[in-house]
Order: sequence, then C-alpha cells, then structure tokens
Amino acid sequence: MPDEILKVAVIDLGTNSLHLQIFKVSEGQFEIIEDFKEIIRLGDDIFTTGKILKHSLDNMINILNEIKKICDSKGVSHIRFISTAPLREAENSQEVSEILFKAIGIKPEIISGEREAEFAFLAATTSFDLDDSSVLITDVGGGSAEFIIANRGKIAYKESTELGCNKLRHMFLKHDPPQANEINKLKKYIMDFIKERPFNRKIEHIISLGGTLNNVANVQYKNSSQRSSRVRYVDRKFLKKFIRIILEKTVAERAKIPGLDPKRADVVIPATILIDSLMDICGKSGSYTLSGGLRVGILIDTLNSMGIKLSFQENQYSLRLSRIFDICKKYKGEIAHLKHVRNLSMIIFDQLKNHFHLTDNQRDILEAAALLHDIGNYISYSQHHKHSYYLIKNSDLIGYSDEEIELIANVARYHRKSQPKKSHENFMKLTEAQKDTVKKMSAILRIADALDRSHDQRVKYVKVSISKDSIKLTLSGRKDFSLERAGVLKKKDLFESVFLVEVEV
Amino acid sequence: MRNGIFAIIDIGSSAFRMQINEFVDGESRTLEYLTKSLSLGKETFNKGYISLETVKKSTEIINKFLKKARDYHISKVVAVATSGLREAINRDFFIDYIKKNTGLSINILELYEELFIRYTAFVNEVEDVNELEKNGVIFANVSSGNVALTINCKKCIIYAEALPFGSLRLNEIFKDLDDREKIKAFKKYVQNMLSEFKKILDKKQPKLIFFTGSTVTILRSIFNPKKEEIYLSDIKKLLSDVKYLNSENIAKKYNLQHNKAEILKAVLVSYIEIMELSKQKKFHFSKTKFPHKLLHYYFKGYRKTSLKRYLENTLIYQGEKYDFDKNHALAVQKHTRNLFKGLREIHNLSNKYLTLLEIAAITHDIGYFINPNNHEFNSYYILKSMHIPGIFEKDMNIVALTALMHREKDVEDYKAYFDNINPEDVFLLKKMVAILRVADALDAGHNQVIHSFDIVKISDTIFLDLHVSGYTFLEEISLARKSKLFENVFGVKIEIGKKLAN
Repeated sequence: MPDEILKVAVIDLGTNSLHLQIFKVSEGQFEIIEDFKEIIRLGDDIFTTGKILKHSLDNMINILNEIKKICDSKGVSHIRFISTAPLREAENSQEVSEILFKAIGIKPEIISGEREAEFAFLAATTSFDLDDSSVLITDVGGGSAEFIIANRGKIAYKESTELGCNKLRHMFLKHDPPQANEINKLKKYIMDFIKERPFNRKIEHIISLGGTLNNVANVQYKNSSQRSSRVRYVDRKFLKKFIRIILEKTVAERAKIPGLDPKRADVVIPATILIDSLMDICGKSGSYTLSGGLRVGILIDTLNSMGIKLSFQENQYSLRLSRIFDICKKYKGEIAHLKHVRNLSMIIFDQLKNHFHLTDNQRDILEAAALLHDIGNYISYSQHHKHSYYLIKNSDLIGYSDEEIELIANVARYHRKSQPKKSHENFMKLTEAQKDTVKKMSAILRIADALDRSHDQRVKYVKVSISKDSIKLTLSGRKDFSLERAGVLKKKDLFESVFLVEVEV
Repeated sequence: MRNGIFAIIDIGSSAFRMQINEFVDGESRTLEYLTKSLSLGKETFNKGYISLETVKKSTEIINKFLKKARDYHISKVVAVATSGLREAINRDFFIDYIKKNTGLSINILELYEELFIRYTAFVNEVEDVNELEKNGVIFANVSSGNVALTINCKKCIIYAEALPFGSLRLNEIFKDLDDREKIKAFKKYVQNMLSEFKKILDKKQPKLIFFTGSTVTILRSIFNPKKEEIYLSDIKKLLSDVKYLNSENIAKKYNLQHNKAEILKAVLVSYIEIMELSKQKKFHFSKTKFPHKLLHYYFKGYRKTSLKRYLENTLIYQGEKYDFDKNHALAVQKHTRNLFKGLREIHNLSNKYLTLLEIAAITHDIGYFINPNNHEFNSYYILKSMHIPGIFEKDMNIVALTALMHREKDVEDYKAYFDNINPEDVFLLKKMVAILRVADALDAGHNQVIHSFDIVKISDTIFLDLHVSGYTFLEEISLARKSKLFENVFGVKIEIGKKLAN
C-alpha cells in the first residue's frame, strides 16, 4: 500500500506493566511514534492471592482510559489489546476481561504462551538477520518466560515456561536481602529446568527480550550514547559483576542503582540469574537485548493479518540493508546518489582489498557508511557530516554491533573536508585498529563521493591500477569528468596519507 | 527613539565603513559616510587568520574614524564586524588589540543575527510587506565566505542556511583549474550545494528575490540600474562577456578594484544559479547600505514588528519538519506562558526568558522523530543545530538545555551538559526547567484535557484550579512526579486544587 500512512496501537497487559506503543506504518516500514508505560505489577496480586484485586483493576481502568485518549489524539485506526500471563493465570480473568470491556469498550485478547513465543520470534526478525545462524530467543516476563530456538530463520523449538521473574521471586526470595540458601535454591531450580531443554553450545547467539534485562543493559550503557539503542549487547562479565552487587543489597538499595528502574529492583535477581544460566549452558560470553520486543512482534502479526508485509519481509535486501534504506528515506536522502556512492566505494574497495589486506568487516562498514553519509543534511547542510554521525549513532541500525555502528558513524563523519584530529572525541576514543579502519574506509568514501560530485551517476566504473607507490584511477562512463577529477584531487590527501601512495586520475 | 547624533562602524570583509546620522524628531539625516578598503576576508578565507600587518592597518583606520566621531562630539560609537572577522581564528586577538589601541569595543555579529538585521530592515523599509511576504520572499546574501539563503513566507522562515560557497571561497577551491573549466566547476558545485534549497522550492515557489551584501554593490557599480532591480538576462550577458577575460582586464574594463574583479565570475555564477533555480527574472536590492541598517537597528529602533508571531510560526514549521505533536506543543506553550505570567513574584525572571521558555515548550519533544528512547537528548541535539535568525547562539543553548531537562529525571543527571555555563545562568535555567516540567505535566496525556487554570497561593503551596473537559488521572500522576524540581527551586509546592468542568 504505497504512501498510505497507517497508525496502529498495541496495548500489552503484562504481569509487570501495562504498555502502549503506537506505530506509524508506511511504505513497508514502521516507526514507533508513542511509547507509554505504567508499571502495575499484577503479579503481586496473582502470586499471593491467585486473583487480580479490585484496587489493581481500578488502576488499570484509569490507565486504559488514558491510553484510549492518547490513541484518539494520535489518530490511531487499529488497536490491538492483548494480555499475556496475568489473564492466563488469574482465577478471575474472565470477570476482569468483562469489566475491562465494559469500562473501555475493548476486550483483551488473551494469548497463549506459545503465541507469545511466536511474537518474540517475529520481533527478533526485525532486528537480527536470523537466516544464517542458530539463536536462542528468550522473553523473560513477570509471569512466564518464553524460549524459542530458531535455526536459519525457522522456529525449531518454542516453549512458554513458568520461569517468570516475579513468579520466581515469590517462590524463592523471602528475605531482603535474600539469603544465600534462597539464592542457591533459585539457581538450582533454574539450572535443573533449563538442563532438560535443548539449550547447548550449538546455539550461536542469545537474544533477550523483556524489560528486566533491558534494564541491565541500561545500567551497563548508562554513560554511553548507546543507551537509547533498541539492540544492545550485555557482557557476561558485566552481568556476573552486576549480580554479585545486587545480591548483597536490599530492594531499597538496589532501587538507587543508576539506570535501574526502581520498580524492577526486586525482580531483577531472578531475571539476571536466569540469563546468566542460559549463557553458561550455551557457552556464550554475552547476550543481545532487544527492547519493545513483544509489541513489535504483535504489530507485525497484526499487519500481516491485514495483508501488509514489511519491506524486510519481502527479502529485497538483507535485513540490515533494508533498515538502512528505511533510514535514508526517513531523512529524505537522495537515494540514487547514495546507492551510486555505495557502488563506487565497493568497486574501489574490491580492487584494493588484496593489496592492502582489507577485511570483509571493513567492507561492511564502508558499505553502510556510504549509504548513510549524507543523512545529516536533514538537520542542516552546514555541519551535516557531524549530524550524520549523530543520527547514525541514534538510529537503531540493525545487525551491526555497537562497535561497528561507532565505526560506520565515524567513517561518515569524515566524508567531507575535515580529517580526524586529536581534538575529535569521537575519533580519539577508538582503539588504534579502529582508527586505522576509520581512516582507510573514509579515505575510500571521500574518493567515491567525489566521483559522484555531479550527483548524476556519470562515472560508471573505476579501474584501479596499483603500482609500487601510486594508484591510478581510470574513469569510464559518459560525458566529461572535470568536476569529478577536480573533486578527487581535492579529497585524495587522506587516501595518500593512509595508504602511502599517490593518487592519479 | 532619541534625538542626537549617532555613529556606527561596520567592519566588513572587504572594507571598513562608518556612518554618522543625526536623528531629530523621528527624521534621520546622514552627516557622514566614510569607507576605507581593507580586505580582512582575503586573509581570513585564504589563511584562516588576519596578519599582524592588517591588524595594524585596521587600527589606523579605526583611529581615523574615531577622530571623525569626536569632531561631532559623539561619545559612544557602536562597532560591529561580519564574516571577515567572524571566521578568523585570531579574532579575539584582533578585538583585544583594537580595544587596547583605540578604546573601541567590537561586537561580532553572528551570521543569523546579521540576517535578522537585514530582515528587520526589509520589513521596515519596504511598503506592502505583508502582501509581498504572502507569496514568499527569498533573501540571498552572497558574501566572500558564505551564501546565506532564507525563504520567508507568511511571517515564517521556512528555510535558513549558510552555505559555504561565498565567492572568495569558490575561487580558492578551484584555483588550479583553467578559466574555462572554472565556470563549469563553479556551476556544478553551487548546484550541489543548493540541493536542499531546491527541495523547499519544489514545495513553495516564492515570487520575489532580494539580494543583499557587498556583492550587490559590485553589480550595481557595473550596471548602474535606475531602479532597485537587476535582470537575470543582464547578468548572464555579463558572464559571457567576461568569460575569457582575466581579472586584470575585468578590473580595467569595468573599473573595479582588483580584489573585486577577481571574484566577479564566482559572484555571477552564484547569482545566476540561485535565480534560475528559483525561477526569477530579476532580483531586487535595498536602497540603503548595511551601515545604514545597522545604525537604525541599534539606535533608532526599527519597529520590531510581530517578531513574536514570526518566531512562533518559524518554530512550528520546524516542529512539523520533525513530525511533532503540534497540539501538545501548543498546549505546553500556553500553560508555560500562563504559569510564567501568574508566578512572576515567585520566579522573578524577565520577559526575555518567557520567550526562551516558549521556544523550549514548543520544541521540547521534537527529538522523538530521531528516536523516542531518551528523546530529550535528541531534542537537545536538534535545537543546538537549529539556526533561527534573531535568536542568538547563547540563548539557543539555554533553550536546548531547558528542553533537554524537561523530563522527570534528576537535573544533576544532565550536569555534564551545563557544566560550562556560569552559576547564575544555571539557576535561571533550573527555574525555567521547573516551569516547563509543570506545564508539560499539565498535558501529560497529550490530549489537552486541561484547558486553563487559575493560580491560587495559600501559604507555601500553589494550587492550580483546573478547567477541564475530561479525566485528569495521567496529568495528576505526572505533576506529582515532575513538580519536585519546582519545589526545590522556588521553595513552594505546586499542586492541583479544584477541578471545574468546562
């Protein structure tokens, strides 16, 4: 459906929180335009009394009324309201559903644990290229925990288990801070449980959804600009250290840890121990986290059921490139120029690769940077290289690690006149090897960009002839290349200084 | 407007100028207009700094100017400098040296301040401004260093950008090309730079174009037009006439100074490209010179017509670019204004801060567009990069910081961002943030349930009696969380009082 803008709201009533996200969907891409959450902790009712209590219900109705108003004010046309564990498990869920329906006019759709697992999988497909690997996807909620194993993009195993973090807390942690034997029992319970499952070293990556682990990522990234990324990587080393610290603290003390949501201060122990046990059993040194997971999965399911496919599902490009094109479109990039600069960059790279010992990873970074180098123009033309750096770092690229994103942003940063300097913080924080990559790839990008200076794709091919101390670029295509030649001469100095050769055109 | 004799010194990139005017009962008369060529721009744009020799020459010129001013018994002379000095790395040295050796303090005009003065002059000097602006007006200022372009439409700036293809700069970039290739290269280069400008023109095609700045003077001296306008066809003809001439011959043929002859081709190409792209057959220019405008801006006081409207419109235009929630933005602006006006005794801030607060209120959420997570950092980033003629960089920084801290987090969490501003300003900033947080909380649901409020102060608590058209659950939770800073900064609590259905 070209050009049509659709606004879809997903409301998710979970054990810990009531969460609304509104998505804007157009041209096969989606974007979150509203994100609203209130912590409600129905688990505290359910795990102690088996029911949802009146005061919680009143609170829920208040919040839902607000949510409806937000949806109206945003012009939402489709609302999907689902509930996971709390309404699956509460004894009075039938009654609660009725009351909610009466109060706000929408009946919650109670989804099974299996469905929940499928949504988690769908969500993961928006942010990870699952086609060539074997991954374990977990969604640790308050009342249940879902596990999915996906091999080469297909679900091989899925299960909804009782390892919800609030549930485990009520089962095991009676003291504050918890006693050592409580922790040991908890650990043993989790380990015994997951040992029975097909979780093993064949799994290449672990991807964790669910708020609590995302919170741990907040703590790890609290001083980093990656704090707002949708995808982050939590180190096992960090996680172990973090667990050691929280085990000794009371709930009140934990609530003061910067980055940790005080409302999750009690359930964070079982959630982190569970993830750590998974890393242990699969022999992994860390896990990716994905925020907003379940709701994104529900969105895709909703859209697919309406007959709408997202562009990455059409398999036109790999997932990560299709996300990059989405970003280019969002910032009104000149797609023909960007694609051409990317092609020229690749043509030059491939001819330099063997001689200068360049790696495939560097090629990926150059490719992404070539496509994204101009997006900063949206903010303003002046300083747009710096704006590109900022936007790349804050745009949730998919399928690149934080380190790679940092490098892509740096390469784009240096596509114009200025070269890396000691006063540039973004450059100085890199390791020597990373600096080398940034210099080399931006040197190539500068030349490729200069070769499309007319922005009309007149240079079709570049032949690179390498001799001992010089390289020669022979251009072919149509019309005259005076502007392009002048451009290369002006921007070749970085190339000459990092590759130690002279450049001729 | 006072009666008296006033002087302004304009330090441009190719000359120093002084104008002295006498104001009597609203009438203004020019007593002196002095101009002395000295190209600061040439050094600044070529080498990056101004040589000591030129600094000394500048001192001599200024001393002569000041002597003239003393003859008229003028006690205070205002001096402003534009890009020639603005972009020099050693500008602080220059200013200090001049101060020590002549006693004169020089103010550097930021580019967007300069544009704003030119705009204010336009509004004051041209008749039927409103009629003209309705269809859109382009202002182009081609100088040695930059080309500044703005598009105004219905009291709103829909585009403002300074592009680095000033004439001297163009010449420098392509100095190695031969003359024939040069013009082609200028053309292509200028076209690329104008790609964003073109996107705006695709949406809105203004009917008029004004050129300002010293390059207009060059064209005027060549064409000597009878009216304040010059035709594109004449400019094109001139370019083909000079195409094969070197700068010495150009200087001779058109009686130009050498430095002007040198940049003529770059100037012509820039004018032609801008005019062709915007489909204009002729351009207009102002009768008065820049020193004249400065003089009136600083002393006589132009009517600062509807500045507020213009600011608001411009901000909303920017907000729409970032797909903001306009109703929420305007509601928060309204609440901010009402809180500010109703709590003057408590906050003690001057009206200037009301303007800044309103800007922050309109724009506080625009960072959502980049990424909703931690969007306040994105709002801050966008605001820091936004140029609005008439708002100085220092003030924009305050706006950006206010927007940055609009959420309920501890202000100290953002300390790194305001570390380099002075302590009094930090306190002002916290006051502004405290007010904005309350205003934002009053539209927490983004659905304008609260229409207005009355302020009632009872001992140490301020009660807001709300006029509402619905249920204010979210607003109440949000206010409870976001009013802590208010209490810390002002020493009074702020709470919701009565609720009256609208």
